[in-house]
Amino acid sequence: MNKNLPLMSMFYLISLMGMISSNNWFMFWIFMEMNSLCFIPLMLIKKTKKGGEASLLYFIVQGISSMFLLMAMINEESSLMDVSEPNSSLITVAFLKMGAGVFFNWLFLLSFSITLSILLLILTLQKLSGFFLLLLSQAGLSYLMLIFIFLSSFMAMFINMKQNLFKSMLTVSSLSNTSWLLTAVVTTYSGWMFYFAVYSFSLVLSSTMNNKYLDQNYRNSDTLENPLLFLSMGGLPPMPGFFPKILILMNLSYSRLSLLSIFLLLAACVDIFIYLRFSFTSALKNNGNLMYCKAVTTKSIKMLSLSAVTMVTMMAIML
Amino acid sequence: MRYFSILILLIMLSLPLMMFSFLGAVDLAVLFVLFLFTIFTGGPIFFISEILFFDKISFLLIILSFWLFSLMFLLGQKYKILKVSLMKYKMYMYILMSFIVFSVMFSDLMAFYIFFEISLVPLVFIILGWGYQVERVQAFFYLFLYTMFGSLPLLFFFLLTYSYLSLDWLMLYYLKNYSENFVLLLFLAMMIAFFIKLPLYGFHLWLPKAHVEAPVSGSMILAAVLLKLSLYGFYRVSPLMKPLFFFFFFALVFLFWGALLSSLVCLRQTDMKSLIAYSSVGHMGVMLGGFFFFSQMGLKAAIIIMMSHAFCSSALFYLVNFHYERSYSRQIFNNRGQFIFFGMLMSFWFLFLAINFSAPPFLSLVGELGVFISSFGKDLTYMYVLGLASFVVAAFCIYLFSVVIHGLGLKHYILQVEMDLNFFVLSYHFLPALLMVLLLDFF
Repeated sequence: MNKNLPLMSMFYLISLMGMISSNNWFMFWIFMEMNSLCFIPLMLIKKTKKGGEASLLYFIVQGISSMFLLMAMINEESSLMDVSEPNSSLITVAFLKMGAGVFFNWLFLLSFSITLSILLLILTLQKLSGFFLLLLSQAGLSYLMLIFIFLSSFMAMFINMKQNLFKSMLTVSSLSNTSWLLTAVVTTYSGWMFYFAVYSFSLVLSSTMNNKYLDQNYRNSDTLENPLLFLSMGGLPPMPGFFPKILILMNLSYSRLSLLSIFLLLAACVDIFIYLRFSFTSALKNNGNLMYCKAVTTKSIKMLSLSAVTMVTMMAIML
Repeated sequence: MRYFSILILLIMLSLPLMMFSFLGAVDLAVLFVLFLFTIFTGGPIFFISEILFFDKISFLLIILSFWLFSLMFLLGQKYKILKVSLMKYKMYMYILMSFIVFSVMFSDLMAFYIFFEISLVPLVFIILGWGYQVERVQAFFYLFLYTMFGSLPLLFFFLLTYSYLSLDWLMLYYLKNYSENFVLLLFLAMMIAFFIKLPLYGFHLWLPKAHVEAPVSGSMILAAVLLKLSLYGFYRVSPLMKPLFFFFFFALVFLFWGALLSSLVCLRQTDMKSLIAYSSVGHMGVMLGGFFFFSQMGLKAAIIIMMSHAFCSSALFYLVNFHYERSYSRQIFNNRGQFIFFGMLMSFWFLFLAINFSAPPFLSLVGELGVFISSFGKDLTYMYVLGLASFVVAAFCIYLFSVVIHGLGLKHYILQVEMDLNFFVLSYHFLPALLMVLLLDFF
């Protein structure tokens, strides 16, 4: 246990709060820097083989993006103290920070050399800075945005087909979820919030459960909640993961964005395929003995009841 | 009032079922409640509450699913012996049944869609959990991805409908100011989703795989109830399709031609289960084709084929499984000459194959005649395709019968006798299929 951990995590949370509540670009930039500087020591708490390399990579990417943000602020005329018209460089900074579209590769490289908990932080909380950049700059559904949305889900589809590690699968599928989130963040704010909350929750839940097994491709044979959680993340109808999606889709259908929404839905279909490929072993009943499995029954029963309760509540809200 | 006759018949039939299983009693109770509803509220549509209702087609589907699921619980008894969890099997069956029943009872389009989709999940878990071979994983992916790929775009178009008007089924009759372009797109999305679920020949690849890998109860439910939900969906959305009726004739060509082709595929099948799966592809094509004429007779014929095919295909899958449990093979040539061993059961083979190719006294004949008559009223060229298709169906039924029953038997069976359970299950498939001919005025 590192002595600096409480301080670091406090500053980390403060930086997130500050980023959310700042009303001019300069303060936003300061809190963004603070955020990445607090996060890098957090990455180094648990020593891994390539931890130093990973933190350096993270620092470089965040440094470049903050530099771009500074330049974008200076370039704009009405700029420094004002939330003004979005320009494409601001949007690009956001994409770079959250690893959307063509900027995905640094995130993918990073995912191999960090621990699972840090990866979960990067996939959920660290993306907030990018999304709040987009929210503050009031970016609309411009061509650049559309290109990155399409690219994200395309790339996620094709890269994810050949992944067989759980961590890298999560990373790539977060890319396709990023395309949903980007669509939401420029069309419907409440849909974005709902989607982000449900996605982060189910991501953390599924990966903490998965962490119990030594070999991450095979799981305990008699549990149901793993496929259910993954189906929820893929967005099969009555699961919790479906409702933010339907909220976003309803907004898209009001503004008649048929092509985008059908594309996103078909990408979600591929997502479900990927998630199921990682979870179907737990649905096979008479499958001989799986050697490298530890059964964690009491905990999984709790999880099952939790997810069942969530499901039922969501259905009640729906009906 | 016409609901009385069919309800009284089914209540009388389900009395002995009650003795065997708990769900038999539930079945009886549900039938009785429906009976009370038909007494106290008149008219063609019965509202149970603000969001639940049933009319003729959903009434039939509810009764069908209760009937078949109570038999499934009987079949589950063998998992007691096989040390596979009986409790979980029952749980999945209850979940699946409630999803199917809810999906046909909700008056809301979105609720129908959700239950239609989620009914896939317990089925998938039944296939994965209680299937026989490793190939069930592939079958699972086929089943899941085909269905999802079709029905996710449909979700978007249902949402578009929502932006025009409420999603109540009955309100669709009053939908006025929509553009034809929108209806065309909705129509195409529905076509793809429900044709995959049906399945139309060409979208059918998941069905033989799923049937081959599924345990007997899974494939019985899949053939008997789940495939029929696509007819239900088309029936409910048909008021929207008024400006596009001409377009359905293109679909008709595919449906009937697909029926012929799948029957031809049956002739060269050696796997008994996939043979019956392909034959149900053909029957489903004829069923939806009858509905697509949008005449009274076509609709009635489609519903009649729906009922008769539910009982007959489910019983045929049960018979195939009977032989599988004894010879551990679904191959037709490993199961030949069975008359020596199982004489009584062969009469059921004969009867259900007769129902399958619509021999005279049974319900399926009435349905197919209805489809023929309504198609000849439109265009006589349907005659060639439909006539040839029904001939080929008869041909493969006779082929299956002759190989399984006649000839020299192989002698490496496990000598399990024909049990009471088999006769019970089969006669509970046969009796409704036979006795409903007496109640034709209901349909």
